[in-house]
Amino acid sequence: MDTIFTAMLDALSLTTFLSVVLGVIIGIVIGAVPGLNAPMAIAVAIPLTFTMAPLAAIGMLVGVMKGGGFGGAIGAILLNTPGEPHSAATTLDGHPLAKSGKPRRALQTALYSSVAGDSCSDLVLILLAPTLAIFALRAGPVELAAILVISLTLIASLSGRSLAKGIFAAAFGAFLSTVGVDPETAAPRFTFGHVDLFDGLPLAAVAIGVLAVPEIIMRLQEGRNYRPDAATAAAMSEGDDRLPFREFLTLKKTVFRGAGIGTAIGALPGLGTTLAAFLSYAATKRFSKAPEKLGTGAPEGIAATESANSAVSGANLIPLLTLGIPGNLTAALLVGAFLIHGVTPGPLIFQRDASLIYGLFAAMIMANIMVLIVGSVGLRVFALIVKVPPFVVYPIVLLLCVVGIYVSQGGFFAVWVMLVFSVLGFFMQKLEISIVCFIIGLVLGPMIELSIRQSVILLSRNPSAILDHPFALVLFAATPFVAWLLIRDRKKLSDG
Amino acid sequence: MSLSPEGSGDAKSSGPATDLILGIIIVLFSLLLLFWIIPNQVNDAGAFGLPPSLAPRALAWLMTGLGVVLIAQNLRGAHHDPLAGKLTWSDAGHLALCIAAVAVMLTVMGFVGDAFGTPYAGFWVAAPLGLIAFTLIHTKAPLWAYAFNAVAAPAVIYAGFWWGLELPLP
Repeated sequence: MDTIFTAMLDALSLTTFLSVVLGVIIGIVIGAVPGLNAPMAIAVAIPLTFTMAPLAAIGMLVGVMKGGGFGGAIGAILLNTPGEPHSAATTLDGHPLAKSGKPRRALQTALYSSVAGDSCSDLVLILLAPTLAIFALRAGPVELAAILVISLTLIASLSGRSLAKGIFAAAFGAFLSTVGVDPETAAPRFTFGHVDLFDGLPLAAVAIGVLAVPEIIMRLQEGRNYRPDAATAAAMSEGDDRLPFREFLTLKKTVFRGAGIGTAIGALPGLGTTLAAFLSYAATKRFSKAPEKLGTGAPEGIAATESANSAVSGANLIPLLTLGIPGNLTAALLVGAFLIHGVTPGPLIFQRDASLIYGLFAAMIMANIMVLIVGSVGLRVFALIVKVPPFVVYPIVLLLCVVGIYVSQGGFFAVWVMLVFSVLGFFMQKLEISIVCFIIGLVLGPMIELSIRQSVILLSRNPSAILDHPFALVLFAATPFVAWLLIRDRKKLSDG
Repeated sequence: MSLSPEGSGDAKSSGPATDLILGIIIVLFSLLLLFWIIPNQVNDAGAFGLPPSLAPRALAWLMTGLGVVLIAQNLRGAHHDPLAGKLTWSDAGHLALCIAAVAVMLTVMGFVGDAFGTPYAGFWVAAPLGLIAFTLIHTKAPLWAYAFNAVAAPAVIYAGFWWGLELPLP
């Protein structure tokens, strides 16, 4: 109890509070820029946290994650340009409502639904994670290996049109995670005599390289062809179309349904926000008294998608904190941030870094409140971000990537690494090789290698000892079946 | 292969499917790892338990297998290329231009930084040039945009990193 109380006090310190607020603002601003999204915002923000205390750093990134979730809705609603696939569901009703002269109402519906969905899933995380971690602690290396294998299979199965390319991306990421000194023998692997590679590839540089820089390069290529429809954004300054809170309360059923769907989907690795948003939208249409209104600017549609996709972000931390398994790209980037600050996600985190984790829970609640306050107060200002010309935004973001990596790693080596991975990321995006699987493979690689090594050592002396691990056996046996089921239904799932 | 100048996005292609070529590249790359890079870059001598090359080798074999699967899948479904037109020569040229611009900026930044030995000397010379180059690559922007990107943006970044985070740049 003392730990929880101390953690709350840490979270309420001025430094942590300001970090969370800054994170929320960065998230909303970057998320609102057409073409940029929350994972990119986190990738760009990670280098800024290097000099911070762990709680302030993680709090800031959580703020970016939550702010970015709402920021994405701004571009989707005002410009009909979703920054992420899940925001495409928001455009279905968000943009028609904004075009009908009610942009503020559309944005406020998105904001309140996003915060409500996020808060619900955070509550589930806070209540469930410590208990699940106790069960997870009972798992040995064999069980952990089985959980990792089935999780990666889930993620790869849903990563795109080709399962082979999804698994390849994860395997390639895991392969690159072996660069550096071998943890058991201290023998250097793939360092090519370069001392900078002894600690492995710099994760922030690789993440920004494959994720953010190729996206900016593609946006730079759009050049003169890009002409955003800023008319709806301009309409923000006209008229009074506010959403009274009592009117939002009429959407409570839709919001809670969306939050439930988002939380359930977020707790399973790999399923992701897009599926949650479209499932919630479909469920709302099914249970709606006027389903024909959905798609024409119904607030119900916005509430359904925003509550569901925001709920995924909190629930995604359940497998991350209890098992150390990141369920999506955002969670994988958070693992990188945890590792940079000397914290290893997994069940032991509740024993070793209990203060940090309960502080993180408090920071998450604080971030939700801040998204609500900052989002409400600055709604008009954030709406103007979508009008900032791309020839100002993208060059500056590209320079920020370079500068951020330079300061975080203290030299040019990591920046060159980032540049090399930018080329790789560009081709991966063009050839539809999942970057999500690649990053998750890179992050999970060392953990998989360690657990498989330990399992092999354990079982090589007595192979029949596998029978002492029935849970692992069930998971190993279920893996091909689950993969087959997901591949069969993949198109339906990934297309929503 | 869809590396075409048009970039039409047409699903029908007269050449081999992009994924077929990707599969061949993956197999060749994995074999290169297995028979040249791993033996030269990982030393298994003196390992008591499992050799350090075990995981890289296993993953390289897995990648080889996946490359073969991609080849097999695309040999069967010939004449249909869902990636046709997704990667064009124009894309490759644009990528090369952007990477070259960043590389030149980094080189100038490092060179000037070393020459002056003062924090931010390299940044103040290279960042405005880099931002002007990136803006030019993007579009023919109005003059104020070049001025803003060359002066105001580096000034804000300088203020943020030097005064805000107290971190030096070259």
